[in-house]
Amino acid sequence: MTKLSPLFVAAIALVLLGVVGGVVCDEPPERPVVHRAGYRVLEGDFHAHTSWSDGSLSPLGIVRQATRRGLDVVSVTEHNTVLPSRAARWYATSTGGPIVVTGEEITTARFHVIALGIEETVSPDQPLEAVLAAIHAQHGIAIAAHPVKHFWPTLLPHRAEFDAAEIMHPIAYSDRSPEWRWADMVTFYEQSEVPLAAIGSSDYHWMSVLGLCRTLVFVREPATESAVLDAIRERHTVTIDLEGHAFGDKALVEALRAEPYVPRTSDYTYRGSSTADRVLRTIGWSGLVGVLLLRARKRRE
Amino acid sequence: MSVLSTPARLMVRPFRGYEELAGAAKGDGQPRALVGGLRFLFVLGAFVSVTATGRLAPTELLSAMLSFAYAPVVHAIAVGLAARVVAPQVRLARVFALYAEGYGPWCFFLMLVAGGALFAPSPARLLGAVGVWMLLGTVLWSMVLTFACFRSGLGLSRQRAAVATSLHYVILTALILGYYVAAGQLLPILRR
Repeated sequence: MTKLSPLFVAAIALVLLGVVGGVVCDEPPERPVVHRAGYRVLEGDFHAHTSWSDGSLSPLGIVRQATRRGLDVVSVTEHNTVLPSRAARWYATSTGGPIVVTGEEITTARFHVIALGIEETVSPDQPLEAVLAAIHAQHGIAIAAHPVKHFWPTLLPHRAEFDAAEIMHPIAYSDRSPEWRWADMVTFYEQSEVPLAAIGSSDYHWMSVLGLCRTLVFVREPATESAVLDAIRERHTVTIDLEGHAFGDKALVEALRAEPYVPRTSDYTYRGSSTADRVLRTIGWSGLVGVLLLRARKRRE
Repeated sequence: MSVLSTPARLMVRPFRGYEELAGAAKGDGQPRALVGGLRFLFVLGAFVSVTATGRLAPTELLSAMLSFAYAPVVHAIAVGLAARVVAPQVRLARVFALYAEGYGPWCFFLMLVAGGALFAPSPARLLGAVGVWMLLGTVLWSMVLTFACFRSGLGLSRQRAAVATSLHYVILTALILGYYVAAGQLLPILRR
């Protein structure tokens, strides 16, 4: 019988300790019911991708991560397909997770549009006006996804046909290029001919934080998927930028000024805070490196 | 060197390592395709869990192992087809077993990035600064190992090993792009 090397066994033990930490410290934050201006306030993230395309978490993983991040509502918005979001909704409903609003990111070279509240995939192989009409035909919501200058030639002529626009987005943390500047997203929203619902989304793929940018949705009770969609349709949303400036419905912004609301943990480097958590994840990672580098079996004499 | 795992030894000495691996008797050091593939999936699952949640959350680790289970399969198809074309006499089981021990650079890359996510003050900034170079280095290192697998592991001539390596990466790229085309995600972003 071959024996395992003591060093390898030690590395395995460290990994197991890390996994124990991953279970014990994996406590989601409280989600207390909060009301402002006669509405219930929900924290939402309406833009997340999965391992079905270029994301890292599965649709079910997005639901679990939304719970960890204290989100009340989340949308899986996969590129050009609604299927993963329907899987996420099924899972959230079965497990008592957060509200899942079905969605898709219609992704083309000329525009990116988030469709919420749809059941059938909207094809990207059509002009923007047809895409918007197809979303509305399903009683869905059309959100201009990261409307930076790069997309303006296509988006601007149809801005009034949108229901909402993303304002807060990880681009706010660091502009990618002159064509991808956060300030232009704000301009797109503020200069709109018709009021748009203000949306904050994390555009989650990987190595980032789900719920990094959030939308405060002011819904009528009971808080359901359709109540969330109605609230966005009625522009009952607010999103807050890095400097604490609130965008959205003026009356709701005033209500928040009178009685401030602090969104739940949105630290950029979500790595837990307790000492045990820090120690156990360090141990777990060290064990992984050991398992990778160390010989498993003892050398035969 | 004696305390190092097979993937680690192959990373340090690709050609000598594959030569030893090919010549190893049954038992200690014998390459095993399934173990190699599972080890890679485990590291990938741990990477996803750590970078998403900041911890080794078993649900995300196992879920990612399932979600990305296609990755070693796609690699196996690519390396199998390349070997079939260039060296039809070689048993495929042997090709898979040798190739699956060569995931070291990718595992190392994933663990470094996971470590950055856990310990760097600003993981995204760190990744933005060195991520592309690390990725490029990993791809090149991995190519060297694939070449060494064909050359020293399977005993092909230098020329045939180079052809097999190129073919492997062409097939691999075609399979990945094929998935995105079939899923309707690639062509819409290419059409102006």
